[in-house]
Amino acid sequence: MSNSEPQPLVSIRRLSKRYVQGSLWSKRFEISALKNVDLEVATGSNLALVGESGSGKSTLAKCLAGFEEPSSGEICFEGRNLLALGAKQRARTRRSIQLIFQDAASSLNPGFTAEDILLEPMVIQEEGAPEERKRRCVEVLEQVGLARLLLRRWPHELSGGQRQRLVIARALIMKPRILILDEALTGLDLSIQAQIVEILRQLRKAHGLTYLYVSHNLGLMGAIAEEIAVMHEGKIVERQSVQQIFRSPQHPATSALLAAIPGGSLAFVSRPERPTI
Amino acid sequence: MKYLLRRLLHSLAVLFGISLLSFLFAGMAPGTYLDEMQLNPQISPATIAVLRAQYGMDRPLPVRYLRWLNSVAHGDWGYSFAYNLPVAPLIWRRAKNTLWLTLPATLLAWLVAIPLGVFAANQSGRWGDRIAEAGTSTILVVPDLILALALMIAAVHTRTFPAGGMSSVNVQKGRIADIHDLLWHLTLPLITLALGILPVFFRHVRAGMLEALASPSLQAARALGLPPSRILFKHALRLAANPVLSLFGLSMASLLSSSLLIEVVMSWPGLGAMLLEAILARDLYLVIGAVMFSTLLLLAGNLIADLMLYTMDPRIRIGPSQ
Repeated sequence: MSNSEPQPLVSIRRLSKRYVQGSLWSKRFEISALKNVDLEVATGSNLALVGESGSGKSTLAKCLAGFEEPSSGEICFEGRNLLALGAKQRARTRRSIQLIFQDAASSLNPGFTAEDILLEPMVIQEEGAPEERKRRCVEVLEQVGLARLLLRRWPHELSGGQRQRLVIARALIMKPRILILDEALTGLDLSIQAQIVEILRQLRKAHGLTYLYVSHNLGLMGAIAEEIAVMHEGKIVERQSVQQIFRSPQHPATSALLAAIPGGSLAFVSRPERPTI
Repeated sequence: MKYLLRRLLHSLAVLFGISLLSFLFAGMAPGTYLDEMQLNPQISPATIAVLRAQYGMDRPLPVRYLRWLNSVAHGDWGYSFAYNLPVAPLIWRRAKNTLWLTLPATLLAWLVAIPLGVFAANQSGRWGDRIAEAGTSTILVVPDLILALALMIAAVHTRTFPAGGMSSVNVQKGRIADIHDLLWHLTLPLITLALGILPVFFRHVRAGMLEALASPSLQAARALGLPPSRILFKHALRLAANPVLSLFGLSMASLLSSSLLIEVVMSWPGLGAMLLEAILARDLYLVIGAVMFSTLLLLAGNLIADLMLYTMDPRIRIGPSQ
């Protein structure tokens, strides 16, 4: 799990997360979702965190995005330990780490127009003059391939693909360094999935964004990521390039995920030009 | 506008349906207002027959219904056998007193339930939430009757508030003195009623807020660095508005019925006692009149809630354009 970069963008060390279940009246018991996880993500990398349900991949993503408080360990972002920062600084750093959810429809508040959704973070931070904010809204919309006409629309008036693009646009407003895509491509139909993958590819090229995918679908991740880390029972059990994962999986959990790909995995690896983003 | 018109037409249809059903059920119920008179040896069967014809009880059900519809059109809403008066003014006089009690109580319950529910959901699982939950659960399991009696006992012992009624006998005349006297009498029944309905409202607001706070859109709002107060009141409350507004509409419907028990116990001269007597005496049109009045409030409450939802929720206002 070493990385040749001098300073990784994200460096997670010995991260653990335990959930305590039970109430005042019932017996308490602990569930370890993460067990001493180490993970480094280099700037500009394109890494997928893959594992079955309950393997801890989503918990890891949520800890990184600041939605869960880890029980112990360190999360360093650009060399600074997020968990040791004060609330204000942490909130500022957090904007550089944006999470894209699976269900775009529910991650957009139905009571706000696309414009309100994009403007709000800038208004709160008093960023730029009103005209400049508006210009930035149009700019990010164009980056995700949406027409400015859609600014006046409500989320329910948009199609599934348009909603997911709006969610990506909202994340881009914050000028993030890393996007965590938590099953963000799951549930979209194939043509829309291809469009979103293409947009992500272009964004990465233009802004040097770092992507951390989180998914249970090794087949899909093989098509869009460059590196894959496999999680199993709260630990990262294997991290390899996509080719190596598909050719010579080291851990039984990886083999199980490979076996679950419909149509088999070998045909996929032997394809001459594999599209990556 | 089209939406409003459609809703109004819909309400009218419901009103018509309810009136038809009340007539049908009232017709199926055993006994009539004159049954007790028949047992009285001093009243001759001939007199009873005359009364029966006079009240129209000898006519078939459809005719009676049409006659009643006619009287509704004239604003009378039928005729009370017991009071010898048209139903509408009779009900209105008592319903006014009931509304004096239930409207402020419902308002008060909402005013407490919304901030308390938002606070509890925000504190979910922590002590603030637990105390609010335990407190409202306790109120929920204590019957209104016990609550009313306990407050009355306290009032009698401390002599701070009157133990019943709506006005004092020997109060000096004058507008301000009258209002003061009314408020003084209102306090205890108001508190009892508000406490009785508060737990249900509180639980709805809390549940709605909890669901809203867990939604990905709120997580996204947090990730964007929005301040917690804005997330709570601008984002979460808007998401939770839908079920809460629906309950608001329903709470309007119970404005006449929620206080029945408290009215009887605390001798508040509202609709409760009159309705109870009317049911026992088979004073048919008075009962149907009260049912219709209740239905009207339900429809009005739902209409208000729907209009509020219409203005607040773009998903209702503007259909999907794709």
